[in-house]
Amino acid sequence: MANRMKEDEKNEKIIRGLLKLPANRRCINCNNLGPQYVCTNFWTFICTNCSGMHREFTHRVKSISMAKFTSQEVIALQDGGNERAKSIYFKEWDPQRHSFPDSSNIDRLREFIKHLYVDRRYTGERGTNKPPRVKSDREDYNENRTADSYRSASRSPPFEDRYDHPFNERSSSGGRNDERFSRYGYEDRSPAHDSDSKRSPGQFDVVDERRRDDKTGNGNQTQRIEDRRFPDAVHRASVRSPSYQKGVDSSSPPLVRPVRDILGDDVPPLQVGDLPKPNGAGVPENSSKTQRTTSSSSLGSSDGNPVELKRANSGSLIDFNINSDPPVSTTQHVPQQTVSPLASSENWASFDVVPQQKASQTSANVTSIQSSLDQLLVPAIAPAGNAPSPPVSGVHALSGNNDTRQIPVLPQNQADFFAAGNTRPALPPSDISMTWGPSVAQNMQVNLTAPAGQPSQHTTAWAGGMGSGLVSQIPADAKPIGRNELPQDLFTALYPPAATSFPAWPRTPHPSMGYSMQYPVGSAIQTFPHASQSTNPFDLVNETSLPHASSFPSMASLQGALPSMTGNAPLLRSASLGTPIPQWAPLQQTPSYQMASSPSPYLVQQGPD
Amino acid sequence: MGILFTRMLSSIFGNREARILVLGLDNAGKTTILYRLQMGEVVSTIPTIGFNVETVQYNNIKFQVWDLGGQTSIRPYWRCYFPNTQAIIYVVDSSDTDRLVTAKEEFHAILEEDELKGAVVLVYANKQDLPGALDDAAITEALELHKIKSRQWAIFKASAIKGEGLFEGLDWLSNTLKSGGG
Repeated sequence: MANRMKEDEKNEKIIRGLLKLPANRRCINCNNLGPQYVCTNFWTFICTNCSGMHREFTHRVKSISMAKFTSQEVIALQDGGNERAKSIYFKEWDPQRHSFPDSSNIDRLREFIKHLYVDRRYTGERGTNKPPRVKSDREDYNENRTADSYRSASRSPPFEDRYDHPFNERSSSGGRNDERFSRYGYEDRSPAHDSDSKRSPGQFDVVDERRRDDKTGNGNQTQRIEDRRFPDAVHRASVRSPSYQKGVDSSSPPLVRPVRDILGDDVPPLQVGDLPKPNGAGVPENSSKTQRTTSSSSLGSSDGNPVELKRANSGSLIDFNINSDPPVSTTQHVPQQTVSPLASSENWASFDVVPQQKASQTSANVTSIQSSLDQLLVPAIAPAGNAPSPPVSGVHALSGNNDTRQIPVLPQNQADFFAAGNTRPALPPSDISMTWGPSVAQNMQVNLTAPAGQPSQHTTAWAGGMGSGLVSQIPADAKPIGRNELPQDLFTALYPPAATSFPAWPRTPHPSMGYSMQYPVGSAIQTFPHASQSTNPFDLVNETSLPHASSFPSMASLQGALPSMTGNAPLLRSASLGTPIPQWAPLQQTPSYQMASSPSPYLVQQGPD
Repeated sequence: MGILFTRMLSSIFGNREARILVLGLDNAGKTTILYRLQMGEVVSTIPTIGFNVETVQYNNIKFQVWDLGGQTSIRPYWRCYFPNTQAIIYVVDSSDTDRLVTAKEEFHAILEEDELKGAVVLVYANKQDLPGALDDAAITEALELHKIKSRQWAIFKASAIKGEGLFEGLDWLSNTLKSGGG
């Protein structure tokens, strides 16, 4: 008995400790302070009202203070918790578009909980493949949690259910007809065909893009949507593809291509999977980061695509700067921010140095960068929509060596491309980032020159870098490193730098040029020749340059805003809310996976697009 | 003594009162049953910490029904409500097969209480509306009701959500109490 008492006390202490985690301080469902119950189906901390609702759905709840927990339950709770549950059940839930139900409104609360856990409306579940991918790769990610969550997903009944079958969950929970029905419904949804509109989760991103597109006035929206759908069909990859596209658009479409190549050669699938997951997982964790990026994206949306593009560009630039900083910033958030200033000044000038930066970025990317990158990518995508015209050319230009300018342009161009039909190619950017991640420090340079070759090596890093890759993608144009950083803090930092460094941009472009070159290769094998033909790309760049120029000016204005932005970085974060990013990131990641797994298919798809 | 005297009077005039405890594991449906009996409606409940008490008039018997929280840590406090109890309504979640063993242990622990020696036992095999719910025979087996000695007991299939089986149980209870079983 004494032992048991001790164990009970110990378990209660652990749970009380878990309750102090930020995510566990509030009810996951209604955001009420001080949850007093645990739902043992999902290992979430919930308030009293929500506990009652959960019981109506035959979910098991336990009072934290009035029930005893076994050691196994405590372990499960440690692995679970609200943060992880949010990465699953709130994955595609956009705080900006949705609001927590009022806990006093029982009916709304019931509906919400039903949507969350029974209908799984916001889990972003679609392809069954995603889970495996995620599991396979991610080791490098700093966001182990996300990776863990995915992995754990396999462990946890809910995850398995999602991936495998909704039924399983029910069965595990003591299944009931309702759940089954809901699952069925979910499956129906899964098709993701109309999902864009209906399925807010995965499609949310799409919707956002559309909005952005609309704002930009691009006719590509529909195209993008289609692309996205494809990704969906493929799996999450489609989802990711948008992000990738975004990323590509934003800055490093070329990167994307290299990635594909790399992925194809090496272990793209796993990496891809990892990346997506990290993003998804990262979302909750990186919520702040994601928020930032989202904020940027949101800003872009508000401002119009141009802004986003600019941001992305600036971000890339900043990233560059950051890249230099990266070493310092190995730590995620703080480093990035601090680094960003340094990077801005140094990186630009030191494009040559890029490798180091990249390396640092990669590392950074893995951790927070990934999430941030993802976010960034998203914004970038929006920009892409803005600058549809030069897409391909822009990419080529990138390959050529357009430099920073091109990069910005490239993003746009890429975005266009992506939007048009191959935004997904953006995946390559992610790949690129991936490659970067592996090489992170050393390979960064190499990657620039020969990303494709290195990719395989990096594959291991990929998983870790995947997330970063996404992030990097966003910055990609400028450079992987920048991307990583950009996503979160970097953006803010970048912005300021961008404004100041504008002049520097041209310089950066050159470094980026190399990158861009790679990108083209990665994005599409076909493009490779182009990449090799740096000169040609340049020509393209020149052509695109016009667009770029136009964009640049806007950029300048943006940058002007950016400087304030740096100061505003916090603002952006708040604005971003973060939730959108998570969604984006997952989607983007998945696409990247696909890309990695089957580069050729992607290419084909792109071609069609 | 005063209470006993009052009860004797009320019994003489046919207006009986009975103090009833509703017990069972958490999430068995105790509170839902209580309010289904009292209001005839399905209410939205939250886990009970402490108790709910309502009076239910049925078949000329005024039931004072105490619904006690079933969370693990507050089950020990059930005993505080045992004195002067004429009947126990033990509620089982028939679909929660994993915890039937726990339900059985708690059930037999209650029957061991001296203060409940004279109480009759009504078991609701609740949640029959759920798929996979065991029927009354299976619950009887799981709870080892046949081991009950020198006490009147009965088990009814019930669904508090659908309102099925509850009043059949109350019928049995009122008849048993009237006949002096309580």
